[in-house]
Amino acid sequence: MRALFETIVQMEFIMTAIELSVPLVLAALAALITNKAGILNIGIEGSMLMGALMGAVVGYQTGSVMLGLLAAIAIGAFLGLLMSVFVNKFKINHILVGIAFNLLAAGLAIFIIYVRTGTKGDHPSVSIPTWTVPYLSDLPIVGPLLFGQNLMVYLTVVAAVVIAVVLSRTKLGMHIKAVGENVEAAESVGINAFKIQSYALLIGGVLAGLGGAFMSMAYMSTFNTGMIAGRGFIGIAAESMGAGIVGNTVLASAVFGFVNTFAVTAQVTLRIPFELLNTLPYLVTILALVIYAMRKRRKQVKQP
Amino acid sequence: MQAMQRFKSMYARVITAIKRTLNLGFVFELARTLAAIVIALSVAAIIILIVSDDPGFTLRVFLLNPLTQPDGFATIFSRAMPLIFTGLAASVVLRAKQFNLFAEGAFFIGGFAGAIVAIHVGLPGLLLPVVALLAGGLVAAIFGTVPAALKAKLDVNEFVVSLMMNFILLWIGVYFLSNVFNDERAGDITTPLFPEHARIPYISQDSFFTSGVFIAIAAVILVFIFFRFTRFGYNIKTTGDNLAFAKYSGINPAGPIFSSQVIGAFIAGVGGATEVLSHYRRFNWTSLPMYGFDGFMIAIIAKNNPLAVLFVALFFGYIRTGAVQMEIFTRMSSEIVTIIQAVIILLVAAQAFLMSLRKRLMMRRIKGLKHVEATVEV
Repeated sequence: MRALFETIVQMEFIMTAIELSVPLVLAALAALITNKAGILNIGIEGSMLMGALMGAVVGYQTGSVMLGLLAAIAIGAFLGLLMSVFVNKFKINHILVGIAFNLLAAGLAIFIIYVRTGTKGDHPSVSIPTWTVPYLSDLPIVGPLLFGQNLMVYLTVVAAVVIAVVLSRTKLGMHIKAVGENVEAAESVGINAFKIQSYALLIGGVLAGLGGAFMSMAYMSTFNTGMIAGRGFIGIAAESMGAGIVGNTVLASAVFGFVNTFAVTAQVTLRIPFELLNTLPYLVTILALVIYAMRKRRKQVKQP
Repeated sequence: MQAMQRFKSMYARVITAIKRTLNLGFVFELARTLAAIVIALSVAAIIILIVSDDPGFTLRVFLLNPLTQPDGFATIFSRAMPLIFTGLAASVVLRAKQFNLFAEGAFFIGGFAGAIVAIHVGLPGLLLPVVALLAGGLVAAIFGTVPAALKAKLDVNEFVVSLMMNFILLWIGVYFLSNVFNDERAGDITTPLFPEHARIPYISQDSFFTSGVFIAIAAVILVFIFFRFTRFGYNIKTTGDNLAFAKYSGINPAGPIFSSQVIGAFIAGVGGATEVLSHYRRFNWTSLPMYGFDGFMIAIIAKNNPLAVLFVALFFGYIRTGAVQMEIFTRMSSEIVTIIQAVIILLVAAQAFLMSLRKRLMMRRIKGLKHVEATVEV
């Protein structure tokens, strides 16, 4: 127990936990905004992979972090729009589009890496710098925590706030929620559902692309075809755990990031097999869904 | 006498079933699917033209080698075998309109359970592989009850739960593989070798045609019979087609919702065990095999029809065999098949694809009928 406690309170552990939360928070936010528009977007996993790939390839080719990030954002946005067209214009079930996108992305990533490097494994990348505020980051504990993080960490915080504001305070947010609640009703009052879902999927795609770029350009400085490793799916799980509320969703993602870090570090310090620890986020998700469903059911029973 | 009558009514039912499938809708769907395949192959050809140094040779290897190589057909069937199982599993689940992706985890854990039984349970002769396959299916079905029961009882989204279950089973499997059932002497994470009589044999010594293919085809026939001729299957279909009608006609939807998902898990589990005991000498999977997701796509292309699942799986087996040949003989990555598959699945699932053409055809037919009626009236 003592060893457990000592593991968790270490600065290094907390910093890693924050880092590992970033892609999950971004994926969960992507899931949240598309879900609000009525689309269960499991293509997030594939969008993240393509974001990671484009970030690494363009960043490495041009030597520019900025261009790499922009490429990751662009591919995410493109995939989001493409998904919207497939769902709205070609009338394909959104879950199916997601599965097809994921399988396509997994294959395409290997294909592109193979064409470029002749191997099926890794591709070099560039690193997004850490943003250290002079003097302030030297403060004990608070310093590195608040003023010494990777740029993407700050970007993620900004993204969460922006999504929350968009959803609760803007016309676009209102329309997104209206379309998600009931497409026909929204269209009957003159809302263009295709346009609104496109916006939501576009924003979601940008977030997923950024999440992928974080993996290949910040967490590691190479791209690997297996590096997303289900983080998009965990993001979807975190979103369902957070029940569509931005704050709760971020919190749920952070819990997953925390558990993930624990799984990485605890195998060394505590000698708990990491394989079993790896199941924790998924078990927690199922548990959370069950609790959520039971509470919903109890409410329904109370009001006949 | 009664037997004769029963046979007659059975015969009539089969005839109507065949007639029903051969109407305009079926022919049109078939044409639509073929069009999607042609477009997808063209997309692949264009990519090959751009990327390859010798596109003509590459294309020839890709499309013709599976058919002309001496082992080509055997390889196509062998590669299609796991896809037949997961395609069937997905088709049962989708028939009840359940978006359950558990076939992935079921295939993995079924393969693992089958391997463990093959190694650690001492049974004589043919009994061993039979028990191993059933054990694979059973273990998968037991885990499959989790998303199924949560959906049926509490209305928890089966999609997310099944996705989570896949990863849980993967890591539990990897844990047991590397800590409990690991073969220390092998120098890698793997079980010991299967006993020779546990393996599902190849048909002849010099061919890769595994007799597991026959198990897969038997499963196709069983699922076909299940949906056509049993009440149980009918209930699943009705629940999927029209939930309100199912309730109205006295079906408690919780039953079909639960059983369809568990049956799907069982089929995928048997498939995993069949795959492992056919194509492997020891179990060494440390990642999800992805056949489950493939099965989902195949079921959709096949419109959940078990016989169509067989043919779509064979087609996937064909392009994958060609892709591997292409990777061996040219410098082209076999992952190009994922592009082909994605294009096919999107086009086939696109309700709008070629639909205006169908409407026009239908209208012409209706007009023709009206013309006939008019002449009769006169």
